[in-house]
Amino acid sequence: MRSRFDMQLEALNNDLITMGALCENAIACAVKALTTNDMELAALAIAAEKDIDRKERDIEALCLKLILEQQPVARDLRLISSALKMITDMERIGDQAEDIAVLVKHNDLSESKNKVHIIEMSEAVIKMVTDSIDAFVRRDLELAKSIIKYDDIVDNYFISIKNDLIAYISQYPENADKVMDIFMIAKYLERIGDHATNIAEWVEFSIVGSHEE
Amino acid sequence: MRKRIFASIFFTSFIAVLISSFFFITLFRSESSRALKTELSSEAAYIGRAIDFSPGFESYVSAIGKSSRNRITLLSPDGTVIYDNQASPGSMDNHLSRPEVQSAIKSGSGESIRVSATLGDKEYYYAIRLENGNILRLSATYKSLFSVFEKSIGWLILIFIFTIAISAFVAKILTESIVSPINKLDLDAPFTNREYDELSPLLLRMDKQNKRINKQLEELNAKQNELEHITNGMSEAMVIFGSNGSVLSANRSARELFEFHEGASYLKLCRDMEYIRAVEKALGGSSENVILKRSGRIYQLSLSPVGGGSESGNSYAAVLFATDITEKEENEKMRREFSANVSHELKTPLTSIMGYAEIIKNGIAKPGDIPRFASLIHSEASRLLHLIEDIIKLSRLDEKDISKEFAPVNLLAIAEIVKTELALKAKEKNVSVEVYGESLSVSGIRSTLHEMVFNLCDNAIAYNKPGGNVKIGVFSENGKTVVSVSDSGVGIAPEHQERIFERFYRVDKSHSKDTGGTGLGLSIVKHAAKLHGAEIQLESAVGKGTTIRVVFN
Repeated sequence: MRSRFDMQLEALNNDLITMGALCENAIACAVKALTTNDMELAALAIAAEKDIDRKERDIEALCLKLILEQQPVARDLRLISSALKMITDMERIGDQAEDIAVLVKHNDLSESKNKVHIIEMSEAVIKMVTDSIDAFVRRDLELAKSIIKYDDIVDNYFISIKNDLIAYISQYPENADKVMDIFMIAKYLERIGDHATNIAEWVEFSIVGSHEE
Repeated sequence: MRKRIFASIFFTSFIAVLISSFFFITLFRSESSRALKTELSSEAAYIGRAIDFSPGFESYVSAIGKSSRNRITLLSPDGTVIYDNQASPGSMDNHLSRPEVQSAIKSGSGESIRVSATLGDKEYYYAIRLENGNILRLSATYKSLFSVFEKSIGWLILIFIFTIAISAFVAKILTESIVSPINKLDLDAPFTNREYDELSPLLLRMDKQNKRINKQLEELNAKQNELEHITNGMSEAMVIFGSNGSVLSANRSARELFEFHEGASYLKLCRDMEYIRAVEKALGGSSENVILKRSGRIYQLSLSPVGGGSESGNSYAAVLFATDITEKEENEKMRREFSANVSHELKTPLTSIMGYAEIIKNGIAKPGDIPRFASLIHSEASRLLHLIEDIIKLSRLDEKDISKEFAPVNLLAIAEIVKTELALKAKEKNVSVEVYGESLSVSGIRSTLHEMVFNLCDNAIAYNKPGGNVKIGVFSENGKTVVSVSDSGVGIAPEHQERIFERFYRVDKSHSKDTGGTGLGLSIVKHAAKLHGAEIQLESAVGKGTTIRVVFN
């Protein structure tokens, strides 16, 4: 009985890693589409959103089944409950990657994007997402904590991009629509950073059993 | 086993005790009733004899009757009771019909066992006929088997419990002594056990199997070690996945490439989607090849399924090979760039030549212009020739099997020749060239070394300022021969310093014709140095000049 439960937990673990990989892939494609203007990559990021949603449903069903059938306690319960929360954040990351890809696909941002640090910001966000999944895979408490701190860097990028855009729009008012798109992308990236932080917090919870204040 | 042995010993002893006590009690009862009969008959004889001899017998009988445990009855010959020590004679009926009395009257003595009408007990009666015709009867309560038990039931239960306890204890000890040699069997060395002969065939077989298992284990270990040594020596990373996707084994390169521990799921190695899909496909039974970029390097992953078929339920294990193809990819990229550059470089002078030639052919050119066009065509053609010559030189240097006829070459002499060859060009650019140092020789190919010094010096003049100078030095440093070419020219910015030895790389992106050259000069220098095992050192500051040193080992 126990070994069956262990196998199901392992399957849940693997499903979570796969979903994390899908998210990483989606955000990487979206950002690459932004930097290289590769429309194929943008299409990939948009397509990935469907896969992520499906995976979320699967994991959700598995978690509920585990809770019903096995009535887990202690660590197992923490893993399952944090899995339920994490998939919500991962799904949001997938959604926002799609949103970025859609913006890139429908607007030519190749000129305006070089004016601000949007590329640097997107790299920082990708690092956060990758690290948060890594922290989950390796059950790495230190890494999880470092991600929570790293969110400040992304937030600072957002503020500086916002200020740069304000300066840019007063200089080139004719590019206002592009500025708005860049600003939206920056906001999406900032949100993805927040979701990565949430994932890191749930990783922390599944290890220590409580949220740090 | 222990339970069973205990139960059988205990049960056997219990049954034995039960049966023996039954027989013992039966025997005891018959023995005691016989003793009762003997006692009664002898007592009757004494009393009878005493009555026969003494006339005042009545007082005697009553005296005896008071002290005797047994019942004493005296009857007259007609059956009337004269005396009884336990009941009053008046209340008793005629005893003539009693069987023992009848038989006493007839034969002198008689006995009978029955329930006493007077006392209501099961009694044993014994009667004798006295000399005066009276009958003396003695009787005692006859103890039945049940009554024996009834009286001592408390003791019996106590004895019973005691016996059970003792037999349980003994059974336990015996069980232990039987079982413990079996428990203490040293199964690794079955022949050291001599306790039970009955186990010998079993132990013999066990010893044989032990030896066989050990041998097979050793063989397996040896094979495993061999395989591990081989795979650890490989530069390719190799990982074997079980059918459930967990890592079964991995070699050293794989451990360096991926961070994981044995038994981890394939997802923990890497989360690249291409990789994940490839592993899943391989586990599903089809081979896959993917490119994986990881920590700045490029790997070719080939995944093949292993096993499968109906026996294993159509599930496959998978083997992953990762080959580092970074250099191959880079070389490929460089070759592509080179061909693109070559085509471009070859096309530019040809386009000019074609243009001028067309003008002349169509007769559009004024006669006065034709000599100018001809000289332009000539200079472009010679540039083209120069370029092709350089490419040929470079491709010769590229070919490793160049005839390595190494001979001592005097570097100072070469420097002097190069100075003479470039004197005209130096004069045009208003640059002074100076050669200094010792007359040192290295082992090498003369033409290649000459080409190398020439190219260095040519560059030093071409990228110099008017009035600048070039110094060619040949000297020995730390036991190594060094050729140094330094100029007071424009210098090279740090971001270009890495790349100037690449083919067709120009600091000036416009590939301008002002400075001439083909963009292959330093590439030839690099290859020539490599051929001679020499090292190139570059020092440069923008606006101050450049020093390139070739250090021969």
